[in-house]
Amino acid sequence: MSDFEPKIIGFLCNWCTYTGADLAGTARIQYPSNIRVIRMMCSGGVDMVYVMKALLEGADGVLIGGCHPGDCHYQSGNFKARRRVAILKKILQQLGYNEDRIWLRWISASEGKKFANTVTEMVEYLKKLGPNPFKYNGNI
Amino acid sequence: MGLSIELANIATLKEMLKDSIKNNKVDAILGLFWDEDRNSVSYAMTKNVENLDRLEILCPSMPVQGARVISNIKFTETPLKVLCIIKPCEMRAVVELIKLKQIMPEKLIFLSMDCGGAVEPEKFLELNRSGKNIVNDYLSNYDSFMDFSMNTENNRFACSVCDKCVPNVSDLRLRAYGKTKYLEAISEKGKVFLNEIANEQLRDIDFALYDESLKKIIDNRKINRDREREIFKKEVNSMESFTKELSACIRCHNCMVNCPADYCKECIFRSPVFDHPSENYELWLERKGMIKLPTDTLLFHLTRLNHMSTSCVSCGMCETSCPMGIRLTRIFSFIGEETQKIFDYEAGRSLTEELPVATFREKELEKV
Repeated sequence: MSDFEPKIIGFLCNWCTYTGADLAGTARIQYPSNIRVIRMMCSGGVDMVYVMKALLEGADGVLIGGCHPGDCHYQSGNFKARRRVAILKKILQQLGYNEDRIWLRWISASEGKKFANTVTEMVEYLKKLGPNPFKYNGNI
Repeated sequence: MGLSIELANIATLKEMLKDSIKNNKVDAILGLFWDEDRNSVSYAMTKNVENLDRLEILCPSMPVQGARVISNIKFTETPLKVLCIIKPCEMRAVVELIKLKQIMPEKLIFLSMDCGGAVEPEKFLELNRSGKNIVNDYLSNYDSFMDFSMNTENNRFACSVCDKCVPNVSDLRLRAYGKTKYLEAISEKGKVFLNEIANEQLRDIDFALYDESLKKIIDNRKINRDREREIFKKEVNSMESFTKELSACIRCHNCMVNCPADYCKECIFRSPVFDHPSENYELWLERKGMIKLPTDTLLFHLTRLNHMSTSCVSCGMCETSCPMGIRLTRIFSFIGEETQKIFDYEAGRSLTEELPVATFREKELEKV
């Protein structure tokens, strides 16, 4: 599938990763347009039901972006997000679903370049992996 | 080792409970009570001594999860002092609900037992209606130190793979196996209470022999659990097999309603979020070619796994309440085991262990 363009849903924290993405934009750093960004107030506000909904609806990957550990605007939201993602990944692992379709990354407001690199890397990874099997599955 | 008293039989305990109400040691007793025609049992709370004749302390049925009804009566702190007679899995759920601030335990006294398991409530009703005295059968298994749940073809699946059939967090533990029973105080509160209601001095009894025989029962169930887990993991190892496993789901939410860990009053599945606009169905048709109805059955179970599997006490109420016979106990118990392991947590094991999703460590899960 050479012409396969993965779709990524990005849940980005308002204070760090979203601002980082903004910086990538204002600094004119190029990155693939495969990501659809949803701005969250905190990575700790990303309930895993939304991550799974995105995957079941056919997103090829989900990127959750939060502040670096210790930098959370709300003290500990990113630590809680990390636990939730760990639980979700453990569940998917046992169900034989590639849990690497979900990426949790710490990207600060000043790391525009890192954001662009992360998205580029993720798109490359997902292209290799191929489309999400749920894309055409109506059994959701 | 806790202090205990000897009970000649289970009727002795009932007399003690009657006295505890008469002497105002407790305000009420909560447990499983027979209905009028003695066909089925249901949870009830009573302050009248005469009602205790209908109380069944060792009862092979679990119509609802006891922790849920206790959460109903003790959601806020009230002066009512209640003695709750519940099974160990219900006790574990109580522990979870205390940590989740859904049960205020200050005025509650818990009496749990070394559990012989149960049959499904509808089976319980059917057997009683057809004149088979299943409770007698249950009690005679206890008397001869046999594991009822391994000796009956009617057992609940959850009970046959339960290796946590002994209460470790409770106030009182009924050591129910053997002809002579013992009531052991396993908490400070339990000791004070037992002292108040006992007609004799509490004794430090040596249970080495009892524990040895009990271990055989538990080991047997452990073997069964390991075997069932292995079979399950072979059968359900992909999203396709998982979806197939859930294909009968009608999303009635019974598993959620009856699960003690699904306490959340603002649950997304109790909201109109999944009442999708009609246009969406058209979009699904276009994109996916086919859409299973009602929608979101898979999402529902995956969400439950994410939200409650770290607090799953393996009571099997999800499967008991499923009208379609989906093998939910296996799904939640075996997958929950793994999610709990990430945090070295075991639901219901202790009141001091923090709930995995309510806490965090700064240094952990570096690879996630």
